[in-house]
Parts: sequence; structure tokens; C-alpha cells
Amino acid sequence: MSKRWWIGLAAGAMLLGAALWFLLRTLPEGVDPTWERIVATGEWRVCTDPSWPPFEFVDEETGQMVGFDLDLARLLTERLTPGLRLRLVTVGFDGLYDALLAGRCDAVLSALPYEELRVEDVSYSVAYFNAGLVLLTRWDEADIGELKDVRDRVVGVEWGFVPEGDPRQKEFLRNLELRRYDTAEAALDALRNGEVDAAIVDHITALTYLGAHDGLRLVGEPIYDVNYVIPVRPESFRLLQEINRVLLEMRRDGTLEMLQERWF
Amino acid sequence: MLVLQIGGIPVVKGCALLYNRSVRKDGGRLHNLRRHGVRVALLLLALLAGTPIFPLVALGPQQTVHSINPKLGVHTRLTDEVEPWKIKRTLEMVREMGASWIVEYFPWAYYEPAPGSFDWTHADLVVDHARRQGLTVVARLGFVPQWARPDPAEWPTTFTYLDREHYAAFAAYVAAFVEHFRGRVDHVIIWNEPNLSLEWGYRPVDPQGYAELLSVVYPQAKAANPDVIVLGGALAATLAPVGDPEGMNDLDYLRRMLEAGAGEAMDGLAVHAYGWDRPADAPPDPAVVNWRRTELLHELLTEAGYGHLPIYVTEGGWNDHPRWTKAVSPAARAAFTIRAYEMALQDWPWCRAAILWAFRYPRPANTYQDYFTFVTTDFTPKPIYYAVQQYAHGEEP
Repeated sequence: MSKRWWIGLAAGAMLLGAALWFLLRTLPEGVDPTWERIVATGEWRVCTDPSWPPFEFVDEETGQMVGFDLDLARLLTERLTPGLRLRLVTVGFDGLYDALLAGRCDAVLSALPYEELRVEDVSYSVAYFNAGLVLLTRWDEADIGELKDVRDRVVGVEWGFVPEGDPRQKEFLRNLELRRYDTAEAALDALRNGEVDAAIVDHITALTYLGAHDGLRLVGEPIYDVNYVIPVRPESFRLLQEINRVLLEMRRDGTLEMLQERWF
Repeated sequence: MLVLQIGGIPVVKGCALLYNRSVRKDGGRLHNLRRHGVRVALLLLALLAGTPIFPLVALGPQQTVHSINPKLGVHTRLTDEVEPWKIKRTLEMVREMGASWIVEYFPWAYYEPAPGSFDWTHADLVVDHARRQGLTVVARLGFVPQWARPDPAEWPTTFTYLDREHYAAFAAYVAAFVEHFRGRVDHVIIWNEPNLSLEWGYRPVDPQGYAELLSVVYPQAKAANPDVIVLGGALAATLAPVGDPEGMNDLDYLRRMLEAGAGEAMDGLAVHAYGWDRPADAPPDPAVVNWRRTELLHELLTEAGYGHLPIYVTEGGWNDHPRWTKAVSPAARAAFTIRAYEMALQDWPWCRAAILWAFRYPRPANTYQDYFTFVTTDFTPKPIYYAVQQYAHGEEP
């Protein structure tokens, strides 16, 4: 092709780019009705089911809802926009998504894991806690530094724990000699007593147990992710953007780590 | 026009090429015959390709359930399962687990879309596969078609709404069902959880009204199939206080429906026996919902003079959702479930079957309900499946 043709093509592309830039600059911004209302009323509503300690539960002495998620909700409120108030809406676990979609609240903060099947109905924030499966061993087991080190060794698990019913999660159980216990806590007791070389349990049970017992340690990062996230309605794009901004800040400045230390 | 292809090459075109070559080589009348023969063969091939002469999912040979507990059963959810292979696979897995009984839902609105017009195609599919696996089917009947309800423009109602004027229409459906399935399905449950308002058309619950429904249905069902076992009740275990708009305590409801004459219009009582977070052995208590609440219902039958009526547990069991407040751990669920099956066999001579909720869902509910199942939607057995199978086969855990 001739040089003139290339020059013409480049000029056309530049012209098109300039027109698009101008259009985007002049078009009005999309409106997030949720964010508009939050800003107008100075209040955002968060649904929670206070039945899942230590994330959300009712303190028997004070009668107040407390927990990791409640603290997170309050900290989010402080950082989302100045002067914002938090209104907690209590909903049963199975009604949380319906309550959100029906407009009873603007977001849900209730230790909800990311669910791929729901992404057409809601938008999820970035993760704020990983409740997935973790590997633990005793402090004196120096030769266990990652999952492959427990191959052909005895690993305690809870009877019927999730990977046994989920073929997608079964892969990493290969070559492990599993010993099943009635509960995840019993598997950790067995680890402390030397019945098994390691244990695989959910992160919440692990952290709770480590907070009350010594002699055990976590090995590496979670080996299977179950990320807790905050769902909002799909049209609440600005609210989601703000929540993500604050959550990422909290990751960077150690706030999420501080919450984990406080509640486990 | 149907063009068959093998490896992307149209078969018709390929055959025509072969034919032309053969004409060039030999010529004559013989080749005309061959030409017509090829056409006929191709036509037959096309017909066979379009219409299979055998069902794609065959019933297969007659099977037998192997189990040490003949009362063991599970509630299936095949009403909305479209694909025949999934129906067959579900029922095969039920049999392989060692269950002899299933409860399945046969909605009135599905099978009688217009008054007097019945289409049993899907129901036949489910029942025939179940029987071929050696299973006994208990049919739950309900789900009122729109034509048997008020005009929605004037008075919107749900599929659980049935007014007295249409009791006879429902009775006719039940009669048609038991007649069609005579010898194949000989147990029917009349309605579901009528002690809950939502199951009674969002009206105040009405034990007398339900007893009246049974008395209309029962003689028609018996006339259509004298061998059919008509089960009443199927009450939701609830501690609803007196006057609760949502429902009525199942013990009160049973007492009142028996006083209204329901005992004369049923051959057995269907019971929903959920354990919630309590073990199977937890003692019966009117103030508690647990597995042995079934014994209280049996006592009520006896007190009312109907102790001879057998009980069929047609729903029940435990849930192992990690968050639901009434759930237990997977290990506890398995232990309680096996103990419950054993109790029904050893300690409850008046109980004919223990059919627990629910074997498998056609699609995930994405709620705590998914944790009642024995098998995932994609047919992956959960640990409880293997635990029950071991028990049913008399193997050591």
C-alpha cells in the first residue's frame, strides 16, 4: 500500500480517537441510584445474620451484635464517605441475598463466600478474608513446609469435609493418607496428640483453635480458597467501587490483618 | 432435506459417485436395480437416523434392592428432571445405596393440564424406571392447576389453593392417577403439609377442611384401585403457637383432623420427621422438633382409636450446612441418619417406611437446602451416601 494510504489511515484513527474522547468527556456519568441515595441520606444499610461467630453474633452480656464483619462494617462506614451512618439490618442466613435484591439493604456483610452461580444477580467486592482449607502441623515437624511434604503421611480431616463431596477439590487429596475425625477440632486434637502428622481444616476453625492452643502452626497459604466478599446489587457500581477502594486500602495498611488478630 | 454426513462428507453424494462409477463399468438393467436399491437403502438409513426405533435410555434388566433394612427410603426430586438418563441414573443410585422406597411428587397441574385431559408421559417414565430398579414408589399428589382456581385477574392464588368447590376435581385426578398406575404405584399422599398456611393457599389452616378433602378423595381413590394405600397428614413439624397465622402445631392439627373424621378416610399417616440439630435418640417432647416426635404422632393416633393405622415417614432427616442454625456436622448427620433408619426398623413396628429428604436435586438450590441431599446435582455421592450404603449392605463402618 502507498505511503499516502497509511497517512490517511493514521489520520482517520486519530480523528476517531479524538471524537471518542470528546464523547466520553461530554456524556453524563452513569448514575448509581444506591450511591446517590446513600450520599443524600447519609446512611447505608448492611444486611447481616448474626449467627456465625466470630464474624457476626450477639454478645450475650451486652445484647449487641459484634464480630469481625461488624467491625469491618463500621470501619468501612468511616472510610466510604465522610459523615456516613451505618444501619444494620438483621436477616436470616437464607434471606440475605433476597433482602439485598429486594432493596432492604445496600450490601451484605455476613461472611458470604464468593458464589460463581450468583454473579448474574449480584456484584461482588474483592475478598476480605479467605476461609478456605489450610494445612497445619506441629511446631516440631520441621520437614513439613508445604502440601507436597505431607504426601504418604497421615493427615487428619473432618469426616465428610467439603473436598470429599466435590470432585473439583479432590485433586489435592491425592497421595494423602487421610484419617477422618467427627469434627475439625477433633482432627486438630489428634494432630496435637501426635496421632497424625498434619491436618487439613477450614481457616476459621484453624485460627480459632490456634488462638486457644499452642504447639501447632499453619503451613503456607490456604490450599483451597473460600473467599468472603461483599455483594451489592449490580446497579450499585459506584458503591462497589468505593467498597473495593476501601478494602484494598485496608489490605495495604494492615487493617484486615488487625481485624483477624482481634477476633481469632 | 436430510443429508447424512460421515466425517464431513455427505453420504448421499458419496454413494452417487460410487453408483456412477459402477454404471460406467457395467451398464444395463442390473444397475438400474442397484440404483433403486441404493436409494431405498439411503432412505431407510435417513429414517433410522431421524427416528430411533429403540428408546435412547432403555429401562434395562429388572433389578433388586439389596439392603438389611427394607424400610430404608429417600425422597427423590424427579418431577422437574427432563432428561431420561438423569432419571434412570438417579434411581439406579438410589437402589445402589440400598433404599427400597422413594417418594416422588406428581403435580396435578402437570398431568391434567385441562379438565379430564391427562398426559402421563413423564410420570410413566419415572415410575417405570423406579420399578425396574426394584423400588416402591409413594406418590405425593397436589399442585392445583390454574383451571381449578379462581380467575387470577379477580383473585390471584398460588398452586396450593384449593377451594371446597374443587375438591371433587382433585379427587377425580387422584382416581385417574391410581387407576393409571394400578399395580405400579399403590401408595399416595394426599396433599402436603396442610398445617402450614403457605401450603393451604395462604389461608388460615383448616384441619376440618383437610379432613373433608380426604373424605371426598378417599372413596374415589378406592373405587379406582381398591389396593391403593391412601396416606393423609404429611404435616410439617412445627411448634407454631396457637393463633399463629403461618401455621398450626402438627400435634394439635392431627388431633383436630382426627376429630373431624380424617381417620376414616385414610389408610395410614404420612409424617415429616426432621431431626434439626438433635440426635435421632433425643427423647420425644411436644415442645421440641426432633426425629422421635413421630412417636407422639403415633400416640395421638392410638388415643383417637386409630392406632392400627401405620405411619410412613415421607420426609425427614438432617442437614449438614456449615451455617444453618438447625444443621449438624457431616459426621453427626451420617450417624443420626443411620440411627434413624435403624430405629424405624427395630423400634417402630407401626412404621412401614422411613423415607428421608432428599436424594438429589435437579439443580442446586444455592441455599442450605443443598445440604439435605445424599448426592450432588452432578451425581457425585456425598460421604453420607457411602455411609448409608455401608449400613444398608450390612458392612462395618
